[in-house]
Order: sequence, then C-alpha cells, then structure tokens
Amino acid sequence: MRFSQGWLAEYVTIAEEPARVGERLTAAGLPLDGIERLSDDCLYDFDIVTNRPDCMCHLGLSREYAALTDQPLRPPPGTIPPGGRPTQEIASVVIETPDLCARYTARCVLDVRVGPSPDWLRRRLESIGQRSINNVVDATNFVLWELGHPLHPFDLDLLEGRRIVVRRARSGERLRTLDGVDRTLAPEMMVIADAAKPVALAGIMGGETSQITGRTKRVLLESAWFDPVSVRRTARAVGLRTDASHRFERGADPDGAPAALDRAAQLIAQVAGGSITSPALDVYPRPFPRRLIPFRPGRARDLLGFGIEDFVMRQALARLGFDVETGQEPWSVTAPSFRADIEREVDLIEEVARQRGYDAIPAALPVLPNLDEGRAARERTQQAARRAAQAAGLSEAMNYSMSERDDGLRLDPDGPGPVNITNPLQEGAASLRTSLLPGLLRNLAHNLNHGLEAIHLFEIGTTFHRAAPLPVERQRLAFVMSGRGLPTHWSLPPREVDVYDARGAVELLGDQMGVSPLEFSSDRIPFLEEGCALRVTSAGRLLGVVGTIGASLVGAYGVDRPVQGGELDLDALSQACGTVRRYRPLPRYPSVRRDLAIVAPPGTAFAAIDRVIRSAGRLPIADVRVFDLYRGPGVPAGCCSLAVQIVFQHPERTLTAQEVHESVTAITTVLSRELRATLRGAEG
Amino acid sequence: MESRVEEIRRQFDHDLARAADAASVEEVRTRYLGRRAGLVTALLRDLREAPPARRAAAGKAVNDLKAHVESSLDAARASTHSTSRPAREPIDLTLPGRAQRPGTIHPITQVRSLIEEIFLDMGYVLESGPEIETDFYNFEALNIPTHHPARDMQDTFYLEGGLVLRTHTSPVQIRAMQKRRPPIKMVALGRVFRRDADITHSPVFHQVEGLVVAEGITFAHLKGTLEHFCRRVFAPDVTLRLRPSYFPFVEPGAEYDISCIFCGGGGCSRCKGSGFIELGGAGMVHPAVFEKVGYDAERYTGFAFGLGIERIAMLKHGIDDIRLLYENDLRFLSQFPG
Repeated sequence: MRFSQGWLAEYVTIAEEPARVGERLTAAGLPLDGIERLSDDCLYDFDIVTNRPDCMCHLGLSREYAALTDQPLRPPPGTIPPGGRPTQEIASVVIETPDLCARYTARCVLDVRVGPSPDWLRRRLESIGQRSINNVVDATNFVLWELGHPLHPFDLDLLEGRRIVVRRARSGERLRTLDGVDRTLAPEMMVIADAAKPVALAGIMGGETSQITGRTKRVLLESAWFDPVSVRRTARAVGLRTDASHRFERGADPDGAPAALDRAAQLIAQVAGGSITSPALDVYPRPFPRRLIPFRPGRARDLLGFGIEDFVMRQALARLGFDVETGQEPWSVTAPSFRADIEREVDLIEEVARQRGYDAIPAALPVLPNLDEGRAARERTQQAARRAAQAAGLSEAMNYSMSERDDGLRLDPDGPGPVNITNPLQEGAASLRTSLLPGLLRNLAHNLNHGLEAIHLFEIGTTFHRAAPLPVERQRLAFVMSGRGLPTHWSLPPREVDVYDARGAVELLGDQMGVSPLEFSSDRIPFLEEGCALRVTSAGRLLGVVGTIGASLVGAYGVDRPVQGGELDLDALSQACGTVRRYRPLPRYPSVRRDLAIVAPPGTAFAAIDRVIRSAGRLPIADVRVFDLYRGPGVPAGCCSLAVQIVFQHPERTLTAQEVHESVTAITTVLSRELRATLRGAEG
Repeated sequence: MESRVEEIRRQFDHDLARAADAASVEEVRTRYLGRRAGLVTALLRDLREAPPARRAAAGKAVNDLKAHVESSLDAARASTHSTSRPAREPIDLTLPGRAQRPGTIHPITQVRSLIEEIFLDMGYVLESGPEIETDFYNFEALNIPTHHPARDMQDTFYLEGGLVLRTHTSPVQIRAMQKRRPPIKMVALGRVFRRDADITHSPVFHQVEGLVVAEGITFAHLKGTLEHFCRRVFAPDVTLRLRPSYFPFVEPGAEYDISCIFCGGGGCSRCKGSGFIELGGAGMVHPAVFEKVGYDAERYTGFAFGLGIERIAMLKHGIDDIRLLYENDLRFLSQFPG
C-alpha cells in the first residue's frame, strides 16, 4: 500500500531519513517494500498484514510511527459545530439487519456544487495512485486514505423517499453498480436500499442510479460498520474487491464511523461548498462492548523468554492507544476501538514485544529430551528407493501433482478415474495424477527435443486414487529410460537401452532395499508392450510393473522411440522390505566353478535352465551366473547358446573334482532330457 | 639339459645386470623370452623332445628358470622408472576415465535432506501428513475460520467433497499434537499447493514445518533454534532477524530473514538493497490452536516455524526461475550431482 511522506507528516513529525522510517516500521511488523523519491515527496510502499486494517491509512501508519518514536500524534480536526439543519428532517435510516450492520451514521451536505477538486486534494490522491473524480467523491476517498474508514456519498434526491434501508437483498433484485455492471442479487447479500430498491452493495460498491453527478445538489453521506463475513461473502459472490470491502472484511472501527463521517462532511463543505446537517443520524443497534483484557506481565516475560520490565510494557501499550489499569495483577487493558485484532492476552504480549523490537529478545536453544524415532518407515523406504534408483543411473525428476484427465485413462482405461480439482489453474491440470509415468514421459519428450541422447529419469511421489469415503494417497516410484544405455564411455560400444536395463533397475532396487525374493512374471499389462511386460511381486504381493512402455502411450506424449520403464508402489515395497540384514558366516571351504555353454532350443527360458541346474546338481550351488548369450554360426538356427557359470559351495567340506564332475554330468543329463538342451561342442 | 639351463641362467643374470634403462631391459626380455627366438622359449620347445623319463625333472628346471627370468625382468622394469612398454599401444591419460556414474538427486531433495539432517541432529522427529486435507486440518484447527481474510493469503485448490490440497505443511502440527503428548519436537517436510503460478510462485512447492511444544518454551527458544538452523543451512556467520508479522496460528507472530548471503548485509540487487533475505514465517503457537487439540494453553507453550524448500534451493544454487525446478531438463538436473 502506498503512503506519501508529505501526507504522513501532517499527523506526525518525521525528522528521519525515509530509509530509517522504513526500517523502524519494518521492525514493528509493517514491512517496507520499497521507497520512491520524488522531487517534492517520498513514496513508501508498505505491506500491511491482513489483521491490521487500522494501518491501511495515513493516520494509522502515523500513529504507529508516533508510538515508535515516542511523539504526539496530530489527528485531523473533526468536530462539526452545532447549528445546522437536523439530518432527521431531511432523511431517515432504518437497519433491518442489525446482525450485519452494527452501526450506520449519516449526514447530508446541502447545496453543494459538484466540480473538479482543488489542486491540493487532487495532488494528495494522485500521489498515492488514486484517480481524481470530482470534489465530493474525492473528499470521501481522501478520508478513506486518511482515516481508513470507507464512506459512500449518495445523491440524496435520487434516493426514493430520501430513505436509507439496510437490509438483505430480495431474490432476483437487480443493481447496476458504479462499474457499470448489472448484478442480480441474492438474499444472503446485504444491500443499502432506498424506499423502493437497492442503491448499493453494502460495504462494497455503490449503485449507478444514485451516484454523485454534476447535477447533484444534496449529498447524503454514509459511514457505517458492516459485518466482515457478510461483506466478504458478498464480495466473493459478485467477484468484486474494492478498497472499501478490503477494509470491512478485515474489521472496521465502529467508533471510527462517526469520526470519518464528520471529517468527510467538513471536507465536502470545504471543497464543494454547502451546509452540513447536524446532528447526524447515528443508528447503533448493536453497540460494541469495551474489551477488557487481563494481562500478566510475568506471563509476557515467560512467553518471550526475556526480562522486559513492567514499566516498559505499560508504556508500550499506552503509546499505542491502549488503556492500561496496572493497579493489581492481572492488569486490566482496554484495546482502542480501531484494534479489532486484539482479542486476548497473547495479542497484548505481541504488542509489547513489537514495540520493544524482536531484536531485543535473546536467542536460546530449548533443552528437551531428544525423540529418538528419527525417520518413519515410509521416509526410510523412500530414501532407500531413491538411493537405489540413483545407483541404477537414474536422475531424479519432480513433476506437479496435477495432471490431464486423459493421463489416467491412457494407463488405466477401466479405472475409477482421477480425483478432480474443482477450481483448477488450467484445464490441462484439472485432476490429480494416478501414476507418475505421464509426467516422466513428458519430461522425456522435453529432453529428446533438446537433443539429449541418454535419458534416464525417475520420480518418487504421491499418486491419488479415487476411493470412498476419502481419496487414497500412495507413494510410488516410477522411471523411464530411453536412448543410449549406461554406462557410456569411449571404450565401450554404444548401445540402446533395452528392457533388461529396466528389469535391472528393479532388481537393483530389490537388492538394495532387501526385498526378497523379488519375483518377475510375464503378464499382459495394458500400457506395456506385449511380450515385454513384467509384473513384479514379492511373496504374492504385487509391487508394480516393469517393461517396455507401449508405443501408443509414448506416442501420446510425442515420443517416437522405444522407452523402457516401470512403476512400483513404495508403500507395498516397504512392507516387503527385509528388516535388519543378518550376517551369514563366510564359507570356510573353497568354492568350485564350472562353466557350461548350453545350447537351448527355441523358447527355452533361462529360468527353466536355472531351475534344472539347481535341482539336478545334487550338490549345494551358491550361484548360477549367465555370462554370455550367443546366437549365430555354430549354433543351430533359432537356438541360443547360454554361457553359464555354476558356483558349487559346500558349507562343511571341500568338494572333490570327482563329485563336481559327477554333478555337472547329472545336470547335463537332466538339461538334455527335460529341456532338450545340450552342451556346446559336446554334441559328439 | 640341466647344464644348459644353468648356463642360460648365468648368461641372463649377466645381461640383465648391464641393462640400465627400460629399452635395454626390453632387449633382454626379447632375447630370453621372445616368442620366436627367445632362449628360454626355445628351451621350453626342446622340452617336448626330451626323453620321457627325464622330462619331469627337466620341465621343472626350465620352468624354474622361466619364473626366475620373468620375476627378474619385472623387478628391473620397475626399477628403471619407466612406464614405456613398447610392446603395447601408448596410453593417452588425457582421455576421460571410466566409472559407473550414478544418477543425480533433484536439488529440492538435496536441500530437503540437508534440512532433515539438521533437525534430526537436534533430536527432532520427522512427521508427515496427507497432501489431501480436510478444511479442519488445513484451516479450522489453525485458527483460520471460514470467511477469514487470512484465507486470501493462501489461494486454495479445492477437490470434490469439500477437501483441499493442503496449502501448507501446518496441518501436520495438528496431527502431531493429536497423536503425541508434550514434549514434542517435530519437523514435517512435504508438498504443498497454491493456486498461483509465475517466476517465483509454483502451484506445487515444498515446505518445512517445525513445532516444539513443552512447558516453558519461549520466543527466545524460537530465535535460538532458527538461528542455529539458518547458520547450518547457509553459513556460520549468517545473522537472523525476526520481524513481527501475522499468521493466525501463531501469536506473537514473526517473519524471519537472514543477512543477505550475497552481499553480507551491505545491500545488493538480490536483497533489494535491504541487506536481508526473507526466509519464512514463525511464532509462538496460538492458544486457540492448543484449545483445538485439547492442550492446556496455560501449562504448555510452543513455537512453530515454516519455510519454503524451493526458496532455499534457489538461494543456495542461484536459481532465478522456480519453473526450472519442475521442468526436469537433464541439462539442469545434471548440474546437481549428489
């Protein structure tokens, strides 16, 4: 909010540099956003917090500054000399909704000459970026920026019956507001009406029909207190935010209403001529009680952790306009009527601390027992999964949680659909993601468009799933890989990522997280390529899927090359994770390794060979490792040659060459019998 | 045969003793072990012709010799301080080395881990809460009733059924207080959502929420804790400034700044000349919040604080557009290995 130094200086003496003024007020909770120096003035931009409507005007800010510098405040003159025509002879005010309008004051200014404002008034308003309209309207605006209380001038002769009725709108009533928009009103909206029709949206904006024009001779000036919630609801409902509604929403000063009325009436008479009616109309059906707040100086010291003296606190409160009775503990403090934000003792403690400055409070560390829980299981799982994904060469991405509605449908056409946002920022982000893959595929497309050759990305995040009674959140990990396989190095032949990279990443994840056994089974998965799709399970629990992402899915995100990837449910994975790893004694006897080149007929799975080796060997086998896969000359068409190393390891003794030889023979026999697999070079 | 072996051994020892540099050591090697004409190589070949009865003994002698020649050559080669091995291709050590490169961790996660570590070191517990929240946890329990202007500060995404995407991590405070009893020392880090998007605002971002509740917790404790935290995140000489501010769930409320990490507090374009950089909001837990969770607001006091993780990441790494953090461009991500 903009403030003019010249204007502020009418109410308080400013003997400091503007920068120092800004610092002082910033330290008191009225942060300076910027200073603009003009030839004859200086403009401050202060950020006024929501709960300080009293500072949204020049007198209010001056009051804070006066308190901080211990100076007197010079409020503008306001009293109207008695002797005018009584307002009630000319107009009347009825409040039908005392619950929404606690006070309504009004005066008339008769025989005004509406015209341009004098220079001083125009300059004042323009200095803070307000447009000058005419002398009457400018006078009320001036008072808004001076005292902070919104006012509204009506052309009295355009008010039917010269009557003001504060009431709820009737269903279907219409009002054309000053911005020229026709509005249909609803019964929950509070309006100002004349004898026949609404003439203003209470506390928000006046109506066009009764506005001040060049022909206006008699002005009825309104200064009232409207209920914050009602003003806020109505302003939201009609989509208007005005300087008036902004203040009423935050709580206006009920005692400020008559003061602002008098000040504005005087100004109108001063700049537009005319005579002020007196006394004013002051309908106050629901007077605000004095708010007495008990205050314990000791409690303030305890809460702040700071030995601030009683007299300092008393002084701080008094300077801010609080009435302080210190006769006995607790003190009895009355907040000024313009401080709607002060409700209880802690609010006063803040006032005291604010006046003293937070800088004065020392810094200390609390001494409390440590809670030794550290990270929760869920966080630990995420951390371990992240580490594993990173080790697999994947880089972490982060996408918004919002997604296109179609994203979910592409992955799960028969699913219950996503959770929808009722007020999305944009149509393309109107629901919550049900999978992390669409975001990663978009990232993939982005990176391909920028010419990257090896794209390996993962994300860990929440997915949202429609459920009753509440949507369910799951923690997931997804990844995509495309382009060059890792590692890339000048000494290695370049190769494209394939489905084994994806499977390998999941295997690594399982190993690192201690999920055992991790099982892969071929399956049909809607968004994965047929024959390149694996379901990942552990002890019967589904953990996720991995494989080659379907060409039509990747195509939907503008990617035209093969993409490998997968998505795992970390919540499920966390339940499958091993707890603490138990140490296994190291083998005390040497292991024996034997390499076999097995020629397997078409369609033979390695899993089957592995099973045969482990079951037919009759000796304890520690590992079966594939170290080469060959197809080509020397191997019958359609067959492949798998080079396998078998590691025999007996826990209790050294194996003899003879028994290993017998075991290999037994293995080859079963391989040949059950799988029709032979040893390469051993055909003869 | 054995005498021949002995002769060659003597000859070899003699030759090798004269070889002063790598090139001459190599010459010796060729003379004795050369594939075609090496003297030892020839002996090995001759072995095949030896009479079977003597073959074992001769074989042992020749093999011993070969071992002796090889180990002596190795030792000589090492002592000539030369790596030149004319038999192999030259090695260009300016070529990049080989390593299995891990992927990178997103800068937001890196900052998040750093913050978690600082609070875990102080004995805090990490809490978490759902990203979809009810009006009660996101607003009501935090002393932000319906139609309160403070709701304007947080443009909210609404979901069907009156639910919201949490606008801050503060609901986790409420959940933690319901679940535990004082003393409480917790931080919660997570995603939050605001209906706002530009160069410094992202509709999705991450926050840290801290809460300490016990008997005798003071504003001074809040200051000390934030000071410690800011110094560990940025630098040990950073100074902390608290200013009064307003958040409905704390009173006294504050915003906290650190001395500008770019200019040290003298004023620069990054801090708009103020010498300070705004970090987050904090304050003493409002008694109304304690009342919502059934705590005795006279007996217990507490402090709470919040800050944006993106903001810290941007400050630390000099990132000027928040959208870069969600674009997932590998040219950006790869700048943050770790």
